[in-house]
Amino acid sequence: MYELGPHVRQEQQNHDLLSETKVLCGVGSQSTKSRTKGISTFVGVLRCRAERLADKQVFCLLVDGETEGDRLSYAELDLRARAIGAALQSCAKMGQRAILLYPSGLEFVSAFYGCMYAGVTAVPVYPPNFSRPQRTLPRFLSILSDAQPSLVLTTSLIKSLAEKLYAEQPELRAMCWLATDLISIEQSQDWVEPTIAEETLAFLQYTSGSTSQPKGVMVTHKNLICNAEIIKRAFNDSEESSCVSWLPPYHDMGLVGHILQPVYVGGSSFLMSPVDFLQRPFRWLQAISRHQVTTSGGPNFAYELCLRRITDEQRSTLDLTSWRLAFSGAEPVRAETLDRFAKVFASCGFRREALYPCYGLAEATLMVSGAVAGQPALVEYADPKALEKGQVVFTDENTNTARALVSCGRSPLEQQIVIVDVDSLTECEPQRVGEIWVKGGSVAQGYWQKAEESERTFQARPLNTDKGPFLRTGDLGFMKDGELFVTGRLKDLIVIDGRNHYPQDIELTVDSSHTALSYGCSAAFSVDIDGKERLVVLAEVRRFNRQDQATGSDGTPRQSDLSGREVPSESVYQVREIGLRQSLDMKEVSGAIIQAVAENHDLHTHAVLLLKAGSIPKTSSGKIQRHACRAGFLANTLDVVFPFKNSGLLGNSE
Amino acid sequence: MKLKADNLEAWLVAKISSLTGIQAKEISVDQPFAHFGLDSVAAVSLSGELEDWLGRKLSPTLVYDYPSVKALADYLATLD
Repeated sequence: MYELGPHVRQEQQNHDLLSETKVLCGVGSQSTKSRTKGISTFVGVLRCRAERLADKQVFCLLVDGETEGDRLSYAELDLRARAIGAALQSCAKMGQRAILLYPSGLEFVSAFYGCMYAGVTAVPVYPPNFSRPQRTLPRFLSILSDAQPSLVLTTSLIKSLAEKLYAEQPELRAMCWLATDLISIEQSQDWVEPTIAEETLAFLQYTSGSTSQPKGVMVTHKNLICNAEIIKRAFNDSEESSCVSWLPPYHDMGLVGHILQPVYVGGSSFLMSPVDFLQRPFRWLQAISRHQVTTSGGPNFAYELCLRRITDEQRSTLDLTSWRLAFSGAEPVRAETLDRFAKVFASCGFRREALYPCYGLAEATLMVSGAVAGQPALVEYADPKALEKGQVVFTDENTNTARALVSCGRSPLEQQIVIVDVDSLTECEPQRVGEIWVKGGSVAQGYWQKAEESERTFQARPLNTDKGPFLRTGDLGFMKDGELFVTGRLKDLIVIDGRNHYPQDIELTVDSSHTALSYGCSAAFSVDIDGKERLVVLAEVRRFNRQDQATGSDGTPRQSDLSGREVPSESVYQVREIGLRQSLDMKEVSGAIIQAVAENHDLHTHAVLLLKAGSIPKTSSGKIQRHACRAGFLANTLDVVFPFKNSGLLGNSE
Repeated sequence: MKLKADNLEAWLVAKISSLTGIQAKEISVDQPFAHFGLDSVAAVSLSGELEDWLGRKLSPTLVYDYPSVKALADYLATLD
């Protein structure tokens, strides 16, 4: 039995009719640890908050990232959720899926809670840009086909935009669209509390998987409550906690961290749109300063943007003394960024100890491990050469080549992390880098309708123990004295500016960007350059037709190698003496790749290397070996026909 | 501040050159921004820097609506 704080005890006396659950949820005085134990779903959490903190503001939208716009109190959010929930109950069954198609804002928040209130599984997605359908619709349509939703919840504005595409996109017309902003509040009276349990799916998180094969992570209420409790304890959250988020609400960090967590702890949340932040990163820190926010963060690049774009004059207006927890996660946490941020913003009252490195992923709801709040981030230095071989050799901070590794903190007690050798699938010796495996209540149920892949990823067991089952994170790291250090990725996933990109998606774009390129003959990967992940593309160029050659061909017949593949003779490319016309052609090919990648993936390509046909590293079955491509790029051993760096020809303008 | 399209073009070319490292003389005003490999962070940042320079509010997604130096400069020149 928990010890109830004085405030809660009083409440208990005043409201004899309150159920035990509600009393235990008692969110009272500071001395009482906020108890949501006994409540097993997020519907219960919000109902409880709405009762206890009815008039407290929980969400406020910052219009243009600055002006306070729409707000919701706990009672209002509960009312909106009941109205939307009732509307859903009248047209969908429990357990069916509803796509959520909203801009960042309070209508999304209400619809998300509305789904939970109806026992309908929410599927939040990035709203496609209907004015640029060719670029943004494919992913949406592929999620639509994977999730098999019964309906799409959206705003009346987005609904009207989608309707214009009905003629060309029968998949859109076939859906049942519901504009939730038109649902009247009176409908809340029809709401019937659903019989949901902790095993009920709360939402599908579609941040994993490539465009052609999206993967929806199945997150239950139990996962949410477990992770919310982990974060609350790690962050020392209370009702006094307030946060501001510019993160997309369709992602784990934006959604779980800023739309669910504030409600769980009884705090408050300010939301702004990601583009308002990117346009003017100052708005983020300005919001923290104005609203005296306690908790806010983002990926490493957000801190970099602040350092780069906030002027001295803007900085002089900031008061960051209230900011006690500035988390950094979702991409590698860089010691150098943390250090500069702490120094530069110290003049605003920002405390170095507020910086909070953490590690997590959607497959584990959100957070896996985190530092100790209020203590400076722990940094270790390791020999990078040894790390590449999977060995951890600590070195002196002052060694020139030393790689600074920021600890992502400890695992909470109820969760287990093991480091597993990816070849032998046995637990690693200490001082060895391996894949990070996680077991605990936050680990999601698997990928929606992907039994085999779920089994592989979510039910793994190290061979030399009887522990498990574990989630395979696909991230590499090691443990030292109970602290987790993340060193890289096992998967080929490219993470730039906090966004995940699948190399196969980029390669598909590359292959079709110019007629000189062929399908299945390109590789996309990232390399660390000056402390930032950057995209590199390799692509084989087809041999030129005779009439395309800059200088006359000697007319020799095509040669074949032992595997029967055609090997172009040197003269076909004129590699040694690139004629002017041909070098322009190559530049055109590189330019086409860069443009297509920017248009389709919003990515800056750092370098394009055009390779001799048949030379890109592939497996015997013809699959691209991205690791070998990357290693070849770094060691400069590729058969390059034309190297192009986005700031000029490689080697020329550097 | 009312500016002529020429000044705006020159400013945009200089800005894209500094964002991408491509030499200003190689930046054609008719090429789409994507041709220079401008990603979404850079594109949205550009609208923010334009706001600072022009001292007026602009849409964060301006660069998508007017996707080349020329198109954007022409649009900005029409603003009061």
